[in-house]
Amino acid sequence: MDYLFQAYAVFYQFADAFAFLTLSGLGLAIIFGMMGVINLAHGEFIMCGAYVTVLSARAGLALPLAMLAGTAAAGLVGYLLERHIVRRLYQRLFDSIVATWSISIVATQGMLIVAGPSIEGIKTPMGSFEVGSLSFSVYRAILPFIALALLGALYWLFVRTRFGVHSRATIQDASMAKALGVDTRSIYSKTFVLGAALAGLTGALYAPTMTAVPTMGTAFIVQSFVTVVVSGADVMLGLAPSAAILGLIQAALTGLSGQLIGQIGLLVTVIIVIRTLPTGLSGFFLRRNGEK
Amino acid sequence: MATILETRELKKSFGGLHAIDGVDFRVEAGELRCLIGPNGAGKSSLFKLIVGTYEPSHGTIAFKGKDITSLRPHLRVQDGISMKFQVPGIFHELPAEENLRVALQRAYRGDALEAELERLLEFMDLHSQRNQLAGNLSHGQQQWLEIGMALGVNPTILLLDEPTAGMSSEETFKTGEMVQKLNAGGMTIVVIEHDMTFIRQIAKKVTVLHFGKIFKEGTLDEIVRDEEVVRIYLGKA
Amino acid sequence: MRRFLNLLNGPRTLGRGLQFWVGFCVVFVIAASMPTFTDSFAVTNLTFFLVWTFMALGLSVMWGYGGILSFGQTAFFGLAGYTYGVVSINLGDAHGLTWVALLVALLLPVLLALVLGYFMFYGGIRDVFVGIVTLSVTLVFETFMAQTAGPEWTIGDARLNGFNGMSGMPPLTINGGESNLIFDGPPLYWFVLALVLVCYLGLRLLVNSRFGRVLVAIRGNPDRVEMLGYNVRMYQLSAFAIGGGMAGLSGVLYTLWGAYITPSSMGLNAAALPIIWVAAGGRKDLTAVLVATVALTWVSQQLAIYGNQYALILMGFLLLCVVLGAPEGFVVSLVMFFKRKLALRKQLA
Repeated sequence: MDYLFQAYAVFYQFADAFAFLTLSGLGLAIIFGMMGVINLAHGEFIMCGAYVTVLSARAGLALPLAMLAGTAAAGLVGYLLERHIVRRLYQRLFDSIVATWSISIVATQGMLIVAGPSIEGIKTPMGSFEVGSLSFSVYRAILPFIALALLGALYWLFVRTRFGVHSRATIQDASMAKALGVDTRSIYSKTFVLGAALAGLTGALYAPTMTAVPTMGTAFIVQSFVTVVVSGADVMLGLAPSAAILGLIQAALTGLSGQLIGQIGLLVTVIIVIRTLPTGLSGFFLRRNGEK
Repeated sequence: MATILETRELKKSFGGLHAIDGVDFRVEAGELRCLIGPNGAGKSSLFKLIVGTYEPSHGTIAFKGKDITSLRPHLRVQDGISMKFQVPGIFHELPAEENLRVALQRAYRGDALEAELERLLEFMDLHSQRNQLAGNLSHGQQQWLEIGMALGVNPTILLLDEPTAGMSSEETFKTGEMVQKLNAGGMTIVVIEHDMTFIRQIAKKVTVLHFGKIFKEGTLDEIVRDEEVVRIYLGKA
Repeated sequence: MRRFLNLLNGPRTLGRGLQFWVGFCVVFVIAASMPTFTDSFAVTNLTFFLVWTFMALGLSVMWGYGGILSFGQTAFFGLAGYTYGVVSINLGDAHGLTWVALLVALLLPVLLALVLGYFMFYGGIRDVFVGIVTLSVTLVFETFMAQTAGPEWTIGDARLNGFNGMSGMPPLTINGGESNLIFDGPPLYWFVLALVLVCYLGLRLLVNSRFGRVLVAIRGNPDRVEMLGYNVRMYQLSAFAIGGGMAGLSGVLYTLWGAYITPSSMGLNAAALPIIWVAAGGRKDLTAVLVATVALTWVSQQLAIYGNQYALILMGFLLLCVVLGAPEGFVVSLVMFFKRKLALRKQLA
């Protein structure tokens, strides 16, 4: 029986990493995959979601509502940033990278100035459960399912709704979509807001499990980038497999040699993937199926 | 006349699409050849294979008797193949003169470079525009600038992919004169074109490509009179 | 001689002609005489500002002229710093061995740049993926060095020391029998200033040469350049090696200046700073980058008195404003603005 308990412990670590990578990567993947914009402020949208969640919860709002508030706040900030800054930089790749990086710096340092190095956090809900002699957090065990549910919801959004169809048309061929009457500008704006809100949701979901500090975005940004790059441009096809494989690598290395080695493992993986599979997993899948 | 360029059983596929499907293309030194065919026939792909942008799925390419099939593109250019792309591949941020210098500085130095630069500017009728940013030139001038750059590497064979695309009829005629002058001077030239007026102005021998294969070869008169060629252009093909 | 002057004045750098060079000499003379009329604190500060210019100049060559955006210059910076630390602590400062440490510390980043560059450019990695790969390499270094805290992490006599970083390495020394010349204070300042002069002029010559012309063309359209017969990957590798070497030079000088080097010099914030200076000044011009780096490091230091976050937030805002309002860089935009005004005045006169 003890063997089964150990196996579950390993599985739990893997699922935990999978959830973290998927949720970290979602917002970034939507924006990068759909618009080709590399949003280096992604970590700060997560931070925004986390901070608003914590502050609302401590002000008395029920946790699910606080999380909604965090998501909405990040979405709103995303809307404002897109409208005033990002919109002007769609054709300028280098400049959009540099601009979002500067937004990231301003947000992090700004939060540091305004709110100080940390704020009092909220507790992880739902307690723990036992498997053998080990105990695990119920909440963190549920997160992988939430991640999968979100992927499912996004699939539905992009395949079965009007917005989704218009989005995919715009990605494939923006001028053609425009000619067919799609308001591409509005699509870009809504997509960016969606990406920001998803990042905010990630922050909201993880807020009860970490201390809210202004630099918390950096804990997510590396993971999200690695996941998105390995996934490739087609989010639906590549994100989950990417998170699964990377989750495996990270969980294994962390278990063997500690967190920092786990982190190094992820970075080395992304370097190897860029060299051998430049279009990521989704590009690889699509090519194998004969599509050009 | 010696064969300067030859492809044998050349094939290139993208997944299920056979862009080039078994081509034995032969060009003699000093020729002026036109390469025509309906859209999607594989003309640009053939050029890209010759210059090295594409790697063949099958077959060989020989230039001046040497097998260049696995030679990297920049080495093929050093050997004497030069190409002008369909979309002007000029350096928009640099002045016209600098564009030409980039092309010239590998083969020429010092006074010889300056002399050749002046000659090219004169030939391309770009003298007055030499300090103008290449991105600000008119479309026709950009095309000429790129032909100038393609000439600047001192090539033995010049591949021109739709050199008159987007040009007015006067500009097209002028380009035709340029091409003829170059060929008269001994340069081997292969031109992909759609503009029949231009082809009539310059063509000696014509190769027709269709579905990635050589459909017909002959003089312009022979090709124009050929029923099958007319059919593939006008028909369902 | 005329060719040399032409190259120095060249088409790809701002600032040419008698006026500029006279001004340049004046500035240089003032800079060189600084130690005579300021205190040692100011001299140390000035040295600090100059130390960063090498990394910025290297990034300008690589990114501004070559179009290669690397987020990983701090990897070379850190590698050079740690290498100097390890070698100099082990060899000691007798017999001028610190200079051996210096040379080794400059060599290793160049080697790393050649290896990494080969992996990237000859492996077909381009554009934004170069940025991702280089950033990943930097973070791997940072993460790796951060977990070297235990006593088992020692190379010879030098402890790597994890988060706290390595310290206590000897400064550059010229041994002269009884009196040694220690490169500290004014000697270090003059040494760095001389290096700035040499590197700035050398890179000006390089960038205005035939090599620079091809590099700038590659920035515009690398495929077309290959079709003109150039081995584009070799040029990109060279530019990348120059960038890496220059970043390494900054790293060694920083370590010599402060006698310490830490993993945070390779972190995300540190990696952002050279990009900010170069982008803000105007990445496509060496002189603009030089001026901007010195100015911005000075401004940052002033603000850091109130707290690091103020310095950083200003840098962030500045970068944002530059990208949106003056994408050519504020120094370059300023110069262009004045040039136009002058030209307009000449026309009206």
